Amino acid sequence: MILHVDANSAYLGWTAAALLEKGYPVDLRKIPAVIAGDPADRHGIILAASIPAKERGVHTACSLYEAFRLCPNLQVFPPDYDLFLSCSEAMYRILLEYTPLVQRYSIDECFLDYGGCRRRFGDPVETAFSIKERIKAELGFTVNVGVGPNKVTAKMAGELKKPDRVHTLITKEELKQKLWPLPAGKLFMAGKASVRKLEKINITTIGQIACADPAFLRQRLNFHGMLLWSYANGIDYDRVVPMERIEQKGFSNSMTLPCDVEDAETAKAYILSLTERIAGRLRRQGSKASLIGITLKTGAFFHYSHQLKLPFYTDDTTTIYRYAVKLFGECWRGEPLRQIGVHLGDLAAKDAYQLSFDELSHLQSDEALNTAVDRIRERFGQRAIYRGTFVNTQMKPLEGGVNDGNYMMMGGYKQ
Amino acid sequence: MKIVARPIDVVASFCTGKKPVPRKFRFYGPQGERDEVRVDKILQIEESRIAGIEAIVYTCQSAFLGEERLYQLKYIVARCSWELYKV
Repeated sequence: MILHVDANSAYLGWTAAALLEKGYPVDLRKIPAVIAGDPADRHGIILAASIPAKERGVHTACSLYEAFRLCPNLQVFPPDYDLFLSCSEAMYRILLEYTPLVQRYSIDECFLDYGGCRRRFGDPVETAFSIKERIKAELGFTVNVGVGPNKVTAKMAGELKKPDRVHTLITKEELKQKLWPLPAGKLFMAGKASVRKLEKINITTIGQIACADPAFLRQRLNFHGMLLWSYANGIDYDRVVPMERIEQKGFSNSMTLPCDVEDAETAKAYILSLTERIAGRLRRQGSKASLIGITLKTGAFFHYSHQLKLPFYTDDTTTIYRYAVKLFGECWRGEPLRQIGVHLGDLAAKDAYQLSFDELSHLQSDEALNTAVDRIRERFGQRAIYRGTFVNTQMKPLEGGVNDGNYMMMGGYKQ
Repeated sequence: MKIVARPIDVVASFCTGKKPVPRKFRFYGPQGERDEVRVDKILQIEESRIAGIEAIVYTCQSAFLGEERLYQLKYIVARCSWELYKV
């Protein structure tokens, strides 16, 4: 049996709990309130909204301007990522008391494999209630717990009615009663594009996906159609794997620039600061990459990308930067830039790949330099050592990621 | 008791293997008057993890602001700081 624990309106709930503890007179969860980035540096989007705000049409990822139009008496609070990490960590610590098989799916979601602890803790539904109550009493925020025979059913159960509830999707009958009447878009992995394709073939509910011919869905939506059919029928064989045993297959870092950039030199400096971050992450995992890519978003929100497969593997910041700049030069058409991103793929373990004669001459010195920089940053802070380009500028020497890279993203990775 | 969560200066003793014990604290009243309060009795010690913030909450009793009062002091472990938590 699998349990899925999901904090309700996580950022808002955590901020509310912390503010109440400091004597703040109202509970943010009970008034129209949101957590949003700072519009001054072009991050003015809603990160989390309270249930009263959601009832007025405010939703995650809408702009602050739009939110104020929908709800003029909205209260806005800034995100405190250190608080979010400590709340997430505290929740994870409680869950670890039940089983070591806990997968941190994101900052506010965890899966627990309850298979091995039934004899110790008893009925999974009773345990789900006790986890929910413990988190509420000890940490001051509410969670939804979903119980199901696999990860998808547990997650879908957890998403049913919120907040502060336990739901089960254990039997086929429960699946038919609780899940099948819901709109297709509520199914895990059914995004906007899939819903549009499903609507074209008159499929609007999860039940209709479940009862459709899987071969027909495959024909219309390729492999994803089969996946949706399996999920709608509660079929999923994915195991709960603690995060430290999962290896990342790719890395990406991007940033929205404080103002539109129109000159190549400034854009290259931002690419360097993004490369510093992403190369450090790559080395921390002990991997090397042979695919380098760059993504650009223009001031008119036009989005394009360009990538290159290298004939060798590298984890060297300077080499990655050199190729990222080459890609930038090839694809940038001179428009004002709003967002820049760098991504790395086709990874290999650092000590298990084919060397080339060319890299033998500089491999050891590059590795020694990168290791020294990484160790200095690990010991004395991210900005203890940085490139001269960034001296006396407003730019940060390392860019990308949330909270200076000290944050957990979807999938449970630090960015 | 109401939450005030005001930072305070505290004299406390830290003994090996035990929780810190507050001895006295400096408190500023509503009109800004300074008062030094000796912690007469510690009635209860509880650990708290609200919003993931590890803290130790002491329910104490002393005479201050002209009367015998129950109040709570809080030691926030990660910040090594004290608060007059509830009065």
